[in-house]
Amino acid sequence: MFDTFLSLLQPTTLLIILAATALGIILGAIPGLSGGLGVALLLPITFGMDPHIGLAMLVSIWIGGVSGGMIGSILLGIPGSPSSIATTFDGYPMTRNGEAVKALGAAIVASFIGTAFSILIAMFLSPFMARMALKLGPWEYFSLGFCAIALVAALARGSIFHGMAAAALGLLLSTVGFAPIDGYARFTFGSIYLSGGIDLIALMLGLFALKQIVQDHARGEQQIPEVDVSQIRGFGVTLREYIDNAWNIVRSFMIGLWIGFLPGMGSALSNMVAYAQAKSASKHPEKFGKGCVDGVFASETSNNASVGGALIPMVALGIPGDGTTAILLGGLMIHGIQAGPLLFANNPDIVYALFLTAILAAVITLVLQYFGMRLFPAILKIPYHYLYPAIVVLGFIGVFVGSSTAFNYVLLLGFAALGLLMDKVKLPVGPFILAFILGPMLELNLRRGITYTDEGVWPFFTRPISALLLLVAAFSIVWPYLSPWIKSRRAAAPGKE
Amino acid sequence: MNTDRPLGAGLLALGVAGIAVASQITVRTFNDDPGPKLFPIFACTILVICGLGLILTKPTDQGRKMDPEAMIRGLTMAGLLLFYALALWLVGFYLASLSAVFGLYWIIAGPQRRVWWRGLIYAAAVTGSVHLLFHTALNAFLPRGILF
Repeated sequence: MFDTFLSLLQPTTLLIILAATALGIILGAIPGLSGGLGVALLLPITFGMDPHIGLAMLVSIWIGGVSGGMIGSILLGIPGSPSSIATTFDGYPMTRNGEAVKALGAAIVASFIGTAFSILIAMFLSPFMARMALKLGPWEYFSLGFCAIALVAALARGSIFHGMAAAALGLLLSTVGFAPIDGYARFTFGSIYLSGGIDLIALMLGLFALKQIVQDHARGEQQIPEVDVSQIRGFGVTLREYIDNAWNIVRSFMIGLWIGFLPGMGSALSNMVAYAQAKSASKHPEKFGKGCVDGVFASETSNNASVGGALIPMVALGIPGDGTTAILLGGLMIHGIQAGPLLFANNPDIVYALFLTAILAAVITLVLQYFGMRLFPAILKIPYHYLYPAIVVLGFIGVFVGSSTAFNYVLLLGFAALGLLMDKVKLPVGPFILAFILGPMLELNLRRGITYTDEGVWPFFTRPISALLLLVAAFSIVWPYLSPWIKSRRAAAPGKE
Repeated sequence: MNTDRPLGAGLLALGVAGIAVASQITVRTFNDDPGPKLFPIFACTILVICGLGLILTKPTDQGRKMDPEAMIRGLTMAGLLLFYALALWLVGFYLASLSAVFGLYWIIAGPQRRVWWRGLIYAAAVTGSVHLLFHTALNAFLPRGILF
């Protein structure tokens, strides 16, 4: 391990890791692009490289990309990637309140904690945790996904009917295109453009970026409040705020790590669940959504903890935890390395290079963003008449590049209109996007769960973990109605006024 | 006007229509697989329940009134975005982006701030930067128009 570490500290390798991490941060920050896209684009370049250096480059872009996603979320209200959607909920209001640097500082610290500790855990517990994951079946995966949606819907603004209706719309939209297992084309209306399903990038950019541009222009807003960075010390977060958020960070870390290492799930889910949990457990939930630093800590710790989590099944079982680890797995295979239980025995140098590069990239990300956090708010000094045209062009080209089809413009505009309509009728965006992302996984596991035994849907309710998760989901749905009833009963009890 | 009840009615109609359409799906399946219609029906059932819930629950607030001027500004911006999408499709990235960036700059800046030559320079700078990032650095295809 020490030899591997020394080889990573060679000037050329270190320079490649530094450049790749910086590139990842930039790609993560640009709406429509992501670290995952960077990994996919640079994968062919690694063919001729030494496997250690090639992997170091890919892992560094990935780490930088996950962390960089928060820059757009906080400063512009536009998540750079699905992993930082929940960061937008409080990060952007903080920017509007003139606290952009504090939000960035909290996000940078949380990102580092999430990445570094999850990688350390992944290094030592990979084989053990992977064996645990194998014991879960489709019943548990379905129940976990449904529980996550119910939690987020219950804690979204508006009534539980608004939250669940938004989630149901997301689920329904996720069924467009070829169905899992049998490949039946649903709700495509004969269009080949809809056969592959609805593009997530178009959905995200429409709902966040274009919707906001139309809204801001309608309101006549010209510029975000400027931020005074001269008074900022350290990361801009006080010791009191760190102490207050200690348990929030630990809980979000555990959520991110756990969700990250479940195959098929990832940072897109973990940031929402951790945010919902932070709001649920908070002494001041009413502050969430208005610029509460706790929400930023929760979202950024969990999405970065999913990085280490996703590496666990990839390394120990050869199963990718999310889309980017699937590409990384491809990178390993290109170099003739087979991930799985024998990787530790056959190529320990590769395993350690992977983990140590990830930690090194996390440290570099921390340093780059520490110095960058005083520069990033310069974006806020750009008047809207310069900033927004550039975002519009990046948004349209971002949705085109992924698919090379003009149909995605229609989707982009359609989702901007849907976002405005949802805002008007008070349907929350969080449960909608989460359900859309999880829909295919939920459906696959629902159908698998029903077919794997002769008992139909019963195992969903009789297997302990699945039953517990469904119980939590049901409780979170009825709690908003149960809670006032319990309070009124207590108030009416004898001896109370 | 409170939007809860109209929203509830809309969701109810969408849910019922979705169930009706999904019920028409017929695929031969094996091993008791419920097939591709189960999940859309599941989602639509939630929509129906939520729709009914919103209709039957007492509305809490009366909602906001829309300012006509704000609506005009919003529609202007929406029109510009639609124009850009059409222009990308018809004339491709370079012409569409030059004109859309200039148009967006002109509209957002308003009469007090806009300067035509600044708008032109900015439009060229944005178009050139996106070309450098996507076409040159990432080797990606930029939209080509169907006309030329």
